[in-house]
Amino acid sequence: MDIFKNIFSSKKESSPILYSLMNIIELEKSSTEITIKNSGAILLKPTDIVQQTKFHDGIKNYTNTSISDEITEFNLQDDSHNITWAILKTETSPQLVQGIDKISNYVATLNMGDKMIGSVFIAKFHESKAYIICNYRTSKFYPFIPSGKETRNHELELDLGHLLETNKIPIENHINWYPLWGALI
Amino acid sequence: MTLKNNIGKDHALTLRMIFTGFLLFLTYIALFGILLFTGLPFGFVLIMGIGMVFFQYFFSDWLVLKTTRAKEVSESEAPKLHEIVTRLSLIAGIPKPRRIAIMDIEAPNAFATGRNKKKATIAVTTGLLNKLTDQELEGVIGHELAHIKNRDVAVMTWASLIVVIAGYLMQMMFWMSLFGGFGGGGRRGNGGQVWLMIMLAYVSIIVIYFISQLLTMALSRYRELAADRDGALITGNPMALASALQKISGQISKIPERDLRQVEHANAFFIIPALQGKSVAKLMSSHPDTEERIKRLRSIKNMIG
Repeated sequence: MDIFKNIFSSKKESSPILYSLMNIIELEKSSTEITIKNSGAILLKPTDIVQQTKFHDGIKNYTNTSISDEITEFNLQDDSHNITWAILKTETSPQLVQGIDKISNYVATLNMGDKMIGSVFIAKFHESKAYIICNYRTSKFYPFIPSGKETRNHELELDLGHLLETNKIPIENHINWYPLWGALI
Repeated sequence: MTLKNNIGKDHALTLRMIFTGFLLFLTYIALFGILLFTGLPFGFVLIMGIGMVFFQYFFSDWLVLKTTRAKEVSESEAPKLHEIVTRLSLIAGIPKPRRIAIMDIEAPNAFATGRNKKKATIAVTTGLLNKLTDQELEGVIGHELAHIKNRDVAVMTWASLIVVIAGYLMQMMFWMSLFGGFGGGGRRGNGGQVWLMIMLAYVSIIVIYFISQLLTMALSRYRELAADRDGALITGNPMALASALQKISGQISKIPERDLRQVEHANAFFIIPALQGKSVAKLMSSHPDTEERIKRLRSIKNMIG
């Protein structure tokens, strides 16, 4: 899984994909149109119950021992798609990016990098709740802005996509802007 | 100079248009050079080609409305459409188009026609009115008004004159070659030389036809990009046009409905066609790639702020 070695190494400077989000966090200081919230999640898809237990125990142990100072809240939840959501809350959004990066790195060191689907960040964009999803398969981001029950605000998504792209965040081709209905965060 | 004036200028695009126009001019010279050199009696074809283009130029609005079965609508029949056109025309600094029409077609689309600003027509489909939001509709109307403002109908009609003439010549020479119109005196002696010269002219005309076709299409794409830019400046909302383009081009239907977690196991992310002969198709297309248009609209949005 070279891709994960590339994306998730222990050094900040060698994890350009997730850390590109810092550009948006920087933008918050001068712009009122977007705010990145201090909570996010990593989506994991274990193949079986044994792996699921290993994930749960391993991540819990890691967050309790290695990064407990950096996160204010952590919990694991499974959704109806049998996906495990590793949900983090931090005091600041840079801490959140760092926390998600560290946990993703940890999972990759367990040789289970390919079980991670991606990570999800919450933002407020033009007064709407928006998700910024990092697809670990392609190492790219895309916006998802639900506007109702299984409907999405595409115009605003385009707008957010534009904002991300102009801030040097790698953007997924729109044919891969898969929704995350009923997100747990 | 205002911010709008600064944004309104895309020097690279203007240069590309001028260069394409220059190349088109060269194809005219080449074509007439061949005709003069061979001394072939092509006067009739030239008159016919020019006549066709004149007809197209003067009657394009009538012709397009007839062929698309677009129905002119009054202010009371389509108040919202009229209001948007009136308001945006005022912002664009052009007279309100003489005719506003609706085509009863489900596919969302629109066009502007007419040889000048005063005799312009804007037509939209019912699909466009039903599927677009008000802002997206404004984006499309802004784009069409920009076509009128930039005199694109006139520019493209006259730019395509060479394609029409070269096309007629090609057909004529093809039939002449079949029925011995090149002089059946045989391929020996002078007859052979004449035959060879005519064949060379024939091949050259074919080459000119394809080159001028490519150049006309390139010019059309540049005019579309300019209309996107100017339309976005008229409405002040480039992303609304971007969103409309996605709906019109059918790309919005490509935005996945299936949840990320459902497709993940199928490795759907890897199924991204990188090249599907797009490059060749692009050259022959009268409109730029939607992705490129959206990308440019995003940049304009960035400049407007």
